[in-house]
Formats: sequence, structure tokens, C-alpha cells
Amino acid sequence: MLSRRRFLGAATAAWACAITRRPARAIGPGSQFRISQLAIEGTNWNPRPTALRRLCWGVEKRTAIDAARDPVVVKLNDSALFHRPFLYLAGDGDMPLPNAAGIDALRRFLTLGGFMVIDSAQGAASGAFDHAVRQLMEAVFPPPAKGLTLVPPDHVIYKSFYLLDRPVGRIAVSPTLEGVMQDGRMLVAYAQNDLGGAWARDNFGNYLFQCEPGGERQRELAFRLGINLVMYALCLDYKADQVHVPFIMRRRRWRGMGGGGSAVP
Amino acid sequence: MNVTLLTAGVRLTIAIIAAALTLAAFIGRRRAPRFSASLALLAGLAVVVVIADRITVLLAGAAHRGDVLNDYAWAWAPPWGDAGAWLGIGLAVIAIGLGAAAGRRIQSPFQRALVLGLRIVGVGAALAVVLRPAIDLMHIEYEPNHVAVLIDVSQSMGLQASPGKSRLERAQAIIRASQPTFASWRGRHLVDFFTFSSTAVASSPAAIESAEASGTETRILGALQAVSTQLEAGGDLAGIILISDGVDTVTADPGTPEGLAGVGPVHTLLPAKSELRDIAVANILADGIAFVRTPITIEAVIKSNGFPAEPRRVTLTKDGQVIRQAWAKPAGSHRAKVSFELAPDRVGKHVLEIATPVAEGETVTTNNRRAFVLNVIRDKLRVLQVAGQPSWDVRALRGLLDQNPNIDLISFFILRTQEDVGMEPDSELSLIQFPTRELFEEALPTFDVVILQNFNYFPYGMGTYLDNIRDYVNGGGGLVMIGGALSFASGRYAHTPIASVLPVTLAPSASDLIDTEEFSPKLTDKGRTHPITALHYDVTANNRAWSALPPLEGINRVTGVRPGAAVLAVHPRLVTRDGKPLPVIVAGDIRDGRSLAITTDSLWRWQFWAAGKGDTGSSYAAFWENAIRWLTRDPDLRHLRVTARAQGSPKQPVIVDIELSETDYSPLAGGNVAIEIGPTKRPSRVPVETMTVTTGDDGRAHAEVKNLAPGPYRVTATADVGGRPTHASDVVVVPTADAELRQPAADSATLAAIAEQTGGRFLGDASAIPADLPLSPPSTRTVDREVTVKLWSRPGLLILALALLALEWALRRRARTL
Repeated sequence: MLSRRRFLGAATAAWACAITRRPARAIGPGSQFRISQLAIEGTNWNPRPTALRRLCWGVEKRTAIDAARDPVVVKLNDSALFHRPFLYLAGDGDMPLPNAAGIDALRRFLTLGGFMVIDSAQGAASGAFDHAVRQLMEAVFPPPAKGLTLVPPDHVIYKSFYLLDRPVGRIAVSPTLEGVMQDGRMLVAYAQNDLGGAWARDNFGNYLFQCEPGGERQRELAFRLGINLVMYALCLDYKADQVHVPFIMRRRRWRGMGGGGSAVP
Repeated sequence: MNVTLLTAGVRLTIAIIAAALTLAAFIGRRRAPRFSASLALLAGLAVVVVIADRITVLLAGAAHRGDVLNDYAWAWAPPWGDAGAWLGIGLAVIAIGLGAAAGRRIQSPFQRALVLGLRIVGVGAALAVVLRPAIDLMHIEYEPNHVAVLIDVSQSMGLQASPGKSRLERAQAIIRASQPTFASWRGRHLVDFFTFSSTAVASSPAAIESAEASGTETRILGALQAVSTQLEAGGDLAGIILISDGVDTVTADPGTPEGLAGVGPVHTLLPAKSELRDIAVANILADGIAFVRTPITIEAVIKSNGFPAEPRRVTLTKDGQVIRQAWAKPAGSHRAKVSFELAPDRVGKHVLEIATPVAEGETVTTNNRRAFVLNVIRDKLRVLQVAGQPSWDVRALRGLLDQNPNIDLISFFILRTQEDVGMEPDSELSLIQFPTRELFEEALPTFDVVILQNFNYFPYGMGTYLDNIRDYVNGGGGLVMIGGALSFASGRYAHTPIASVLPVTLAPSASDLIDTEEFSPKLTDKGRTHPITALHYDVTANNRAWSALPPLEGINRVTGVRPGAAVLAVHPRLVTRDGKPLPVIVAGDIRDGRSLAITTDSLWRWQFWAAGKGDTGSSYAAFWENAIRWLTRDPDLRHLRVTARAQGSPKQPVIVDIELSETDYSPLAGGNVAIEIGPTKRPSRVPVETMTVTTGDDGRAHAEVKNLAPGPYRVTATADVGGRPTHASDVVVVPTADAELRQPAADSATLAAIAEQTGGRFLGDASAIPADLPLSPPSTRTVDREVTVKLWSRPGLLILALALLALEWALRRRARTL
């Protein structure tokens, strides 16, 4: 439960932010954090059109990151693919495999420093989109590369800003993220719980979808996961540094004893 | 050869006992006749034993007949071997037992004792006939074993031992006076002579007579081990006689059981009296090299002669400042070991000194302190990256530095500021308090490079730590400021202590502090060959690499460049107020440190944007690798190197070696190098010696500096490389005295300890080697002649036995006990 004092404090802070916009902290537009959204022709590549804008608003408000609100739409054969290291791929159905040049470009993007978040809006843990994602990953990282693997619960992605236990979105059908790892770095994070569905709002500020089964607390945790993904893209495994470990362990222990926030749905 | 069975002492003892028993028997014959009779029996038997011994020796001597036989051994030869002997002994015991039992019926105790005595002697004589005792007379040749006489001929042996006589002269007199002793050992021991200082050398009395005390160091333990090993290998060792003043200049304590294991026995002799009163830092046990921030232990041995065993303060000084102190209590062997632990926090050569205060009445005061050079090197570079906000630039730099196995990266990123809104409790966040005090007050000296990346100090209460960062740079640290909206003048650094250690100058306040346009930086002439911006060795390839780099975006406007700083890359269009191109990359030496300014936060494009063009980001990696190496003064990047080394004595010159290379690192021949030798401590760095040398074809030069007073010096070399003055320096310590003369007092405690540990004898300041030294006997002998003489296997003895037994029978018959 949000205490009255905390609610008033937060409300005051939000009001202050609304009327006094924080000074820009990036030196130029190219230095701002901005998401590239991957458009694959012939697919519904943007099933939650307002989701990323809302996520970036949260990133901007809650963290020190200077984030641009609107994503940039890129294709695999665009030179602009390499202008921003954060790529977002969403879908709710089947997705054709890109051509060889596209596969090569995506492989180059990921292995030379890029990070891609794949968000399934299909509403189920498997299906046509899931099948297409696995095909795509196998094409980009053919064996003997490991391809998609389960992300362990102690991965830095769950503590890069917020301390999280599970990756929930609009739904909570999959208890874990999957990812592609290389040399200790996560190149791809694949979420099947429809993160975009939890973030998306209409023009009047209302959320478009109910979060099930956890309601608004689950939506908050979905935002937090989105912010953690952004923070990981910009700081890598910073929160795995030894200096942070005792603090994080202490806080996790304290939460486990009943302190802090409510249980995760 | 004298044959003996019972020694004279034993015989005398038996005789006295026999007399005492006889007297006691006589006195008590009426009161206690039975007891007195027993005593008389024992006395009689004792007399018989002595008589038997004498007769045996007489017989053996007669058998010897003054032959060349020189040794003997007692033996027996009973029939049927040992079984026969045991059978004979058993029968003898039974016969005596039966005699004793039968004798009970005799009324008179004295008679009874007489009868029993006759039985014992008779049976004993019969047993001697059966056992057939014999003596083996032999001629034995002994292989003499070795006695090593070691004479110390180090310089300290030249010190005065007594008026008009040095320690060595006294040692020579001891050898002369010991000739009778050596002569008495002839046949059993061979005497080998050695002299030693750093090593043991075979010698002779004649050579010792003309030896000089000239050795520059004393290795007592090494010499003992070498001689022991050599003689044990060639034959057996009877013992070692060490004639030395006991001052080992290499081993901290040569008298320990560990060092002396397998050595000995060593008999020690001091050719001097340890009358000098002196306290000295005798030895320092420390490696000359240490890793930065890795704990090391420095041990020192404090020796005290002629002073009571009381605690003495010992200090460790680094570059003129006392950093540790300990208490030493020399006792027992008058030496004490003190240990100092420290973790050097700064790379480079440091002068450390261990000192103990001068006590009243000390003969020598210069040996109370001892300086040495500790060369602190790094195993890994330690880099602190502090970023004002997460960004692509932050990510690229962390990813690069974190992957480098030679870098220990500590990152601190501001993930949330006071301006950001958060409704969640802290327990749900992974954020920690920015540890400003720990970083910028405690740990700052431990970093080789500090990177302030788009970081504004103001919101974090860091104003008080800016002085520390300035001092860190001035003291030799590396600083990088990377641009961004929170950096340079936009980060309010103008007029702060940080501004004084930046290679660029900042506008105090202006609205136009940032330009956000894209641009491709231009390399300056300096930038084409500077180690930071030379991405390739070949200038053409380097220009090509720079022109292929993706454009940058956004720049912090600075007002100018600090005098002496090198502008490596500039903005192609924008200029500073004085009309010069706006700098993008500027590097400068700031007193002992180095500083690098990068006025943009978009270098990450050289990595990721370049990847889109087919590059792997190698230029970005090369740029940062160069920058880190330049900031930390990587020796591989130096064009001028100087090495200075002192020799063991202050009389010997300090040797200075120079290596000079061109900008492309090929040897620079014919280069003039100015050398200055001055004190290490600021601010009094007035040179005491200057000279100029010219390098040869191999780019090397050599110089010798004579007559430097003892103490630490900084040797600074300056040369012109590629039109720019280049500096290099080294540190050297000229010793206060020859190692041999640092401890003038003779060390009798060490000699006593060596003797004790090896089972030898400490002879003090004896004037000659005594003949009765406990030396090991030769273990090798050869028996080349042997004669066996049967002593008692003769009819007379059998007749004697029969006669005694007949007499016993007759007495018993008379007493009617048959």
C-alpha cells in the first residue's frame, strides 16, 4: 500500500516535473537514448503503437537517462540500424525470415555491440510469433552457437535499476526471460508476456489493456522490467560489480522478510 | 698400544670397595657374623676379579710382543658357538647354586662364605676354560678426515682488533700459534685452509699469511655451507673452525638452525674483542620490486652491541615522510627483527629508509639509518569511471575497459538524480549512495586514471573533494574529462580546482557552452604523431583511418588551451574566442600527472556507427588504449629512458644509462641528453651535478657520476625528440658506507650461536686453536693384519679350577656337610 505521505510526495514531485521540465542532459540529439523499432515487412511489427513512447516517458522521468520519447523505425537493410544500439522487435503472429543480407546485418548489429528486445504480443507462451522468433534466432546464431537460452534469475537484467523477481508484462504466462548470451553479454532478450501491452496507453492517458492476473501492480512491474532493459543496454553489467553486491543482497533479504513492496503476481 | 680390560679407574674403585667390605666384615664379625661373612665373600671376589684382569692383560701384552699391531678387540670362542657359551654359563650358575644350597649346613658363616667363594672361583675358572676368551690383535690404517679452517678476509677484518693489530693479523697469528695443534692431529685429520668473503676459496697457511682484508661482502653461512658440502662429498668432515668477526653482510641471521642444517660441527673463534658500542640497521629484507596496492612486508634486522637489551624505536620513511614505526628489542644474540607492512599506492621508484635513533656513546652513527629504493610496478591498471548519466558513450567505454584484462575498472554511474521522480521504496531499487568520500578521499590515490564522463560534481556535495582530485593529478595521476551537457563549463568546473588540472580553459559563465551539430574532427600536426591519436604507425594509414571515422555530434565549447598542452584534434568549423579552432582532443602534462580533455560525448560512434560501415570498432579501441597508456606513462611509449644504479660503496661512481629513440621508436643516434642529479625531495631540487652525454648509433649513452655524498638522488634526463623536450627520471641511493664497514662491531653472539647450533665450541678470542677440540673421529679404517691370541684356554687354568673345587670339597667334608 502506498502511504499517504509517500503518495503526496510523489504527486508533488510529479507536478513539479510537469511544470519545470528537466534540462536536457545529452549534448546532441544523437546522444539521447532512443529506441529503434524494427519493421519487418509483411508483419504486424507494431502491435502496441504507443507502448514505447510511454516506456521512454517513464525512463525519462524515473532515471537519469536522457531519453527521446518517440522510437525510430528501422529496417534491417537501413544504415540507420547502426545509429542506435537498442533495437525493439514486436509481433503478434507469424513473421517471415529476413533475407540473407538482413540476417547478416542483424548478426553484425548484435555481435558488435547492439542489444535487441523481442516482445511477443501474441498473448500466449507459444504460437506463430514464438515459432518465427526461434527460427530467426537460429538463422542469426546457427549451431553450434547456443541461441536462445533461459535467463537465470540472478542475471543483472533483474537488478540493473529495480530489483525484480520475475519478468511480467500484460500477462504472466512465462516465468522467465529467454536470451542470447555471448562473452557474458546479453545480445537479445526475449519476453513472451507482452510487455508492450502493459505499457500502451491511449491519447487520453488510459491504459489500453488490463494486466492479468496482477492488475496495476503487475503493470508497474512491467514498466520496471522495461526500464531495467533500457538500463542494461546503457550500463551493461554495471550492477554486477562487486561494489553493489552487498547492498543488493541486503535489500533482497529485507524484502524476502516482508519489508518493502508487495508480492509479485 | 696398551691393552686394557678394566680401566685403572674401575680397578681402583673395585679395590676401594673390597677394602671397605673387608673392614666392615672385620668390624661386624661378632655382632653380625652372617652379614660380615657375606661382605667378606664379596670383597674376596672383587680381589679375584682384579687379579684376573691383571693376569689377562699380562697374558695379552705378552702375546703382543711389541709388534706393529696397533689395535685390539676382545673376543671368545666357546665350543658350539653362542649356544655352548649359554650352556656353560647355565651349568656354572647351577653349580654355584647347588654349592650355595649345600653350604647352608655349615655352622660357621665365614666357613660357609669361604666354601661358596671357592665354588664360585672354581666354577668361574672352569667356565673360562670352556668359553676360551681371546684377544684379536690388529694393525689398522685410518683414512684421515678433514678439518676445515675458514678465515674471514672481508674488509671488516681489516678493522683494528687490538692496538696496532687488525682482526686479520690476529687471525694470522692464531694460525701460526696453532701449528702444534695441527701437528698433533696428523694421521687422523687433514687440515684444509680456506679464506672467504663472498665465496670460500681454498688456501694455505702461507697464503693466509699474506692475505688482505679486501672482500666487499661477508657470507658466513654461504661459506660454511659450501665448505661443508665440498668436504662431505670428498670424504668425511671432522669439523670446521671458523675464524671471523661474525658480521655477515648478506644473511640477516646466520646462526639459525634452518640455515645451519647439515653443517658442522663448527667451532668458532673471534679474532677481536667486541668492545665497540653500536646500534645498527644491519639488514633489510625486502624485494626491490612491489606491485602497487599489493601488501608487502619489509623486515629489518636491528643489531645492538654494548647496550642493554631495551626496546628501540624503528621508523620506516617513504620519500622523506615517516609512514610506519615499530619497536625492536635486541636481546639474546643482540639482534631483533622488525616488520613493516605496507601496500604501496603509487607506481614508481620510491626511496624508503629504515632508521633507529642514535644512542648515547655509539661508536658509529651512520649505520643507524639505511635507505633503499622500492620500485613499485602495476600488475593491472586501476581505472575509475564516473559518469553523470547512462548513455551510449558510457556504455561503449565501460564495455571496452571492462573487457581489457589489464584493467581493473571501477565504475560509478548516476542512475537517478534528485530531479527524477520515484514512488517506489528504496528497497525495491538496486541503487546505492554515491560513495564520494570513499572514492575521492580514501581510494583516490589507488587509481591510475580517473575518468569524469559527462559528470557534474555539484549535486553530490563533492566540492570539498575537488582539491583532492587536483592534488591527485599534480602528484602523478591521470585524469580524463569527457564532454557532455554535464561536463566542462556546463558542469560548473570553471574556477574550480579541477579547472587547474585540465589541459583546456573554461568559460566562467556563458549561455553558449554547447554546440549540437555533427562534425568530423581534424587531426592537428601534433595529433598525427602523438601516441594517443596515432591509431596506426604509418602516417598515411593513420590519416586514412581518421578520415574513415564516423562523424561526431555535439561539442563543449572551451575558451582555449592551457600553455604547453598538445591539441590533437580540432573542430573543422568552430573556433574559440581567440580565433583558433575549437579543440576536441587535448592532452597535457600537469606537473607529475597527465590530463586529457575530450570535448564531446559521441566517441561511441567510432565503435558502433563504424560497425555499420564494416569496421569492427578497432579505431575506438586503439584510441582508448593509446590514451590509457599515455596517461599512465607506459614505459613502452617513452622515447627517453634513464637508469641509474649505485654500486656497493660510496667511493664507486653512480652509473647512469640512457636510451633514446626517435618518434617512431627507432634508436636516436647523436642525441644530446642533459643529465641532472639532485635531491629527491621537493622543493629543494637544486641539482648537485649536471652533465651532457651524446647517444651512440644504438641510441644509448653511458655516464658515471663520482663523489656523490651518501643519500638518495633523483637523476633526471632531458633530450630533444621530434623537436620537443622529453624527460625521464630515475631514483638512486648512494650507500652511507661500504656494506662491510656499516657494522664495525664484532659479533660474538652470532659466532656463539653458530657453534651452539652445530654442536661445536665457541672459543671466544682464544689466541690459538686448542688441540682437544671435539672433532669427529675418522670413520674409514682398514684392517690389514690380525692375530688372535687365546688367553685362558690352557691346562693350568683347568688345574686351578680343579684344585679350587677340590679344596672346597675338602672344607665341606671337614664341616660334615657332604
